[in-house]
Amino acid sequence: MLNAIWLVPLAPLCGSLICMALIMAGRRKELAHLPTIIGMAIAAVVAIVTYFESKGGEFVVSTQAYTWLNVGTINIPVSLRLDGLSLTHLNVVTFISLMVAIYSSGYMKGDPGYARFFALISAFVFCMSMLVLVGNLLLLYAFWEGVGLCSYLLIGFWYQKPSAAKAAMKAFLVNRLADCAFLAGVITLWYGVGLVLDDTTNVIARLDYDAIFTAVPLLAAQHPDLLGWVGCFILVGAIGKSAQFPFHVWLPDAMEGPTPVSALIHAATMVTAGIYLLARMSPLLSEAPTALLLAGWLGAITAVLGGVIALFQSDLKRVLAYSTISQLGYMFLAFGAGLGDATLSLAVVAAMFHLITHAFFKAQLFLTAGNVMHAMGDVIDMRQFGGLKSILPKTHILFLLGAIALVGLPPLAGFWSKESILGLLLSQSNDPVYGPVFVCWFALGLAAALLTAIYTSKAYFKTFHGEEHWPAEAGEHPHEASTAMLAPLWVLAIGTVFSGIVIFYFDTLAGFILPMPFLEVAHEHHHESWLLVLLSISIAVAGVLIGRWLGLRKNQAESAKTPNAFAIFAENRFYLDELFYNLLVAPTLYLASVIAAFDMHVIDSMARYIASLPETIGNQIRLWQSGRVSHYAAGMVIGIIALLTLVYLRS
Amino acid sequence: MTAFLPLLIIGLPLIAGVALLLFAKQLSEASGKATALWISGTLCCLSIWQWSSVTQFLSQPAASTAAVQQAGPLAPVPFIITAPGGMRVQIALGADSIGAAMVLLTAIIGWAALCVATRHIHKNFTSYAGWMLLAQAGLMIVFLAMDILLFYVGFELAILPLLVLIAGWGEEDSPRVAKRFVLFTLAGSIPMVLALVGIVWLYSTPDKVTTLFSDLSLQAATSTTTLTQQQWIFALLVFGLGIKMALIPLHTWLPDTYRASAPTTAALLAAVVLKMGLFGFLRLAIPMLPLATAEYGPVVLGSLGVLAIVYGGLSALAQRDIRLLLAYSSLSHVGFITLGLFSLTREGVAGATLQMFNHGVTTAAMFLLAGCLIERRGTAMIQGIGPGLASVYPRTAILTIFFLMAGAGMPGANNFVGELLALSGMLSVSPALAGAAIVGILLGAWYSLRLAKDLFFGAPQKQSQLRKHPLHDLSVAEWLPLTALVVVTLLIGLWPQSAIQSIQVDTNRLVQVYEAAPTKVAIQAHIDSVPLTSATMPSSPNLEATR
Repeated sequence: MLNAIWLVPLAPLCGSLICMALIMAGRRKELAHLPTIIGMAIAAVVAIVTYFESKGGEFVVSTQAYTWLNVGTINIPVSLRLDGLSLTHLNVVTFISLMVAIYSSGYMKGDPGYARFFALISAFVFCMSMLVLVGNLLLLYAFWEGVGLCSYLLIGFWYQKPSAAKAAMKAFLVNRLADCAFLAGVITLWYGVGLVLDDTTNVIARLDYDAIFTAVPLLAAQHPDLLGWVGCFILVGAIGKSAQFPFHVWLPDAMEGPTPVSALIHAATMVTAGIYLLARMSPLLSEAPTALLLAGWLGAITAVLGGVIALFQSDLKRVLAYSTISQLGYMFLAFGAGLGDATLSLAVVAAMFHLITHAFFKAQLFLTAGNVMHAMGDVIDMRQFGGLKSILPKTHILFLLGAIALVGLPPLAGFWSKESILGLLLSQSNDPVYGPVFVCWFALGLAAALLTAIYTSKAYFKTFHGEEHWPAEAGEHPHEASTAMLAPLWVLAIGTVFSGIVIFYFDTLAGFILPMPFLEVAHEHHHESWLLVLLSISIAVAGVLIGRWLGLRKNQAESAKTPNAFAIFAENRFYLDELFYNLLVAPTLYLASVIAAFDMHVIDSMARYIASLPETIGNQIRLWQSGRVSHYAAGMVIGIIALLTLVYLRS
Repeated sequence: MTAFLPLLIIGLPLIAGVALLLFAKQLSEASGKATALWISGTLCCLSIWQWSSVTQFLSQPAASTAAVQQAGPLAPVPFIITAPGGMRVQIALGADSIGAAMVLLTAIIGWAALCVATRHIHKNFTSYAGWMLLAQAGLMIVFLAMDILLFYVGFELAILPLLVLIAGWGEEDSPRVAKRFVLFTLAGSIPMVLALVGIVWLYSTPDKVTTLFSDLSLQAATSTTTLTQQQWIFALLVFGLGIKMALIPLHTWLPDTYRASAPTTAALLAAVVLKMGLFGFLRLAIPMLPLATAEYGPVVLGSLGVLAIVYGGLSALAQRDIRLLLAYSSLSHVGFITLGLFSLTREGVAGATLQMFNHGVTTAAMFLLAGCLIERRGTAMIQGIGPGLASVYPRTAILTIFFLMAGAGMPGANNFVGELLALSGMLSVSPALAGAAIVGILLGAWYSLRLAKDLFFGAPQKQSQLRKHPLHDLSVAEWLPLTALVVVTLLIGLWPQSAIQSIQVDTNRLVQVYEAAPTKVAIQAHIDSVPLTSATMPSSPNLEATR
């Protein structure tokens, strides 16, 4: 069974290679969805079977393929490590990917890049499942870059669009910036583990998780500063991939890619890799409180910031993108709650819980938005359509389910996971050290919940209620999506509705993830406070009502009203993109041009002057005038003669 | 049989090159092309053979414990020249894994460049191929020489055909640029000669002149030379080799030369010729001047490496000519190699050596692809070539983006391995330098992605604009060698151990002396504590024979 786990990454890889072969052969490209869907189905089945076989309890198994690199003290075997955490995330990835792949076979029909799309999606699932499964931090980094590459190529999928090209580049570079820190963290950790582990024979794979976690307590005792740096470096890597403030700027632009890509990569799976990284490194982070504090603050800020900006966007996909940013902020916030006394394990569970439910309902929301876009002739601006309830009845219901889950109304999924994060924060509010911080984060979390409810219901009412109208691009009679696009959504809807309550009621996640070795487990489970539940529900209801009012306002009324300064500010994403550009990009480009000019003119002319000296001398001597080649050959002969003479004299 | 491989690898391109030049007029163009490709293909096979026999030899446990690589199928075969007056000088050819890797690189790149050149070099292809083969012969001498004299001869001999290649088949101003290239090289030759003489002087006794690398390395590990003696030689060497490897500020010949020469020539220049300086450090400075290298290597050259990474990366960002962009990016990548080499750690030096090969593959591929684009679009300006070519030349787009990503350090491709090892090596020596070097990874991605965007993404140009130049995508002669380079890139990226396994046997040998402790005093102590016994030094038949 253990070796069968290799099928999970390899089946999509084969699918991807077959698609590439179809592209190169230039034939049967319209069948490219088959290898992809089959590959992903194999992966999903193997993952789920493994999950049930390994049911509960403590288990860590690893399987090694080959030695990737073994030089000096760097020893990196390619091995998979299967434990509760990786298996949980793996199931999310494979299941959502399969649904999205089926959906895409309908959504992408007729696109000239049909085969390319499926080749890339398959490659992405390969990289993502490897990222989750590998047992070595450096390989995690490698596949981390791999999913980034797939994301880059998929954002730029419609490469003729200049906006897509720009967005793809921006996404890759912002991620690269964060990844530089991540790589620094990885290498520093390699160095640190070498400092504390007795490794005279150089056989320890220092970056294997087991080695890292064995070294962490020693490092915490001997080199706490180094560990603190490593924690922060890794956190920066995580906030880059998970689009947290201030690295969130790439995610909204990433919506230039096809909608299934937004659902799979930029909502459900890849952007949660940062959460997975933190969860994976939680034994390390438990000794690096600065990183956790930073994670909590950035998460809280991002959750609110994303919510505010989402409120002022008129592009449905962008609303969902900012919503993703905001919800990922919640997960980071959960890690902040891990600062308390031995609560990090609970924090990991809460974050992973929200990750799972979010993956379901956000994928569903994006895909239904894709249905809307499909029906509206690729128009996604909410000002241009409305009242689509009767035109897209099934899509409407599916969107509504996703929206309720996102808003956090019981009994749908989002409520339970959001509650577990807020409840954890509240239960720690009398922590002697971080108590006030937790209260502050709790308040920000509630504010984000209110904002979530407002923008979600605003988007819902604006799209599906009110006066029925649609843009010219949609044609005379917009129609409901095809079965291929609806069936996977119904499957996802099951998760959207039930995943939260099932996981909460059976407490499956805690039982599954918590026996993680090397992490101190808190035994006292916090209890749901009924007051908090009431507070949450009333906040959600209030938010929905406000959102309904906002969503059903007449367009004219909206445009006639002069927008206030704050609205302009928020509509322009608080000018953070511009800030990024003016503080980082423009100065670097300016410096680059200065250096290039300096190189071309100053250094080069200096060299020219020096280089012209021998020529000047040569001209005066009028000896080496016979031409370049002989000039040169003479120099060489003289050199050899000099060498021989000196050697001769010496002897 | 394998003992003659080095001789064969040098002899084949030398003789074939001369023959092609002599019969350039008589041969028809087609037969000239066929001959050149067959010969360089054979050279590739010979190099692969040599690499595999070196690998096989080094996989024996005994091979890794010897202090100096002596025995083996490709051990240096000393050849003694007796000068009038009774003085005897030894010369030797042989291959260790470092040399074999560089030979392999030279052969593969030479073949790939010649394949592509059949479509891009429109005048006197036969002569072009002849000079290319001669240049390769010179480079092969450098990489296979096992003594100072041959090393120097090869070092200088390789430049002569390159000069003709640059001046004869390039932009309009290429003769002027070639002249500058030669002046710089000449300027480097003088300190180079002095340094080589210095090394020989340092380790020779009145009754015996030492020129073999193996003898010199042993002498260096055992003799009682001082830092003061070594540092002057080291300084001369830095100047001489620094020009070849384009150490800042000795690099100014490089961008112009790459721009003005034909892209197929530039591929050879960037892939192999640029590595000669680094190779020189591996062969000469690290084993023979240990005190000076330990003292100045990490600090001075490590810093220069980081400077090159950042300076080259930033300059590349501002270029508008695709060849200049690639030239500055080479500068930046060579910085990484320098960084790894002068970390003087096992990881760093092994990584740097592998990276010499890796960078050669990817940068040559990029120059060849640039040549394909320039050939089709009639300009080298990025704005003029692009945008929107992905739909017009899909094969070119896929290959270019592949190699750009490889160059930007994407894991799974080869460059990531080398850069990772270089950074890791430097981290244990100087975290500050390693940290600064990481910026290079960001810059590398930046200029690469921007190039990809400007060339391939965006709205395709109007058909009428494109029709001025050939519309067809890559031909077989172009995509076949590039695909071969893709295979090499992926092979090393996905399984670097296969390549570095044998390289590290030789690089570990080089690093051993520095590992005791990287300070002058400690190295001296280390040297004192290791008496020359038969255990550390296998009895050398070569040494005996010459006495």
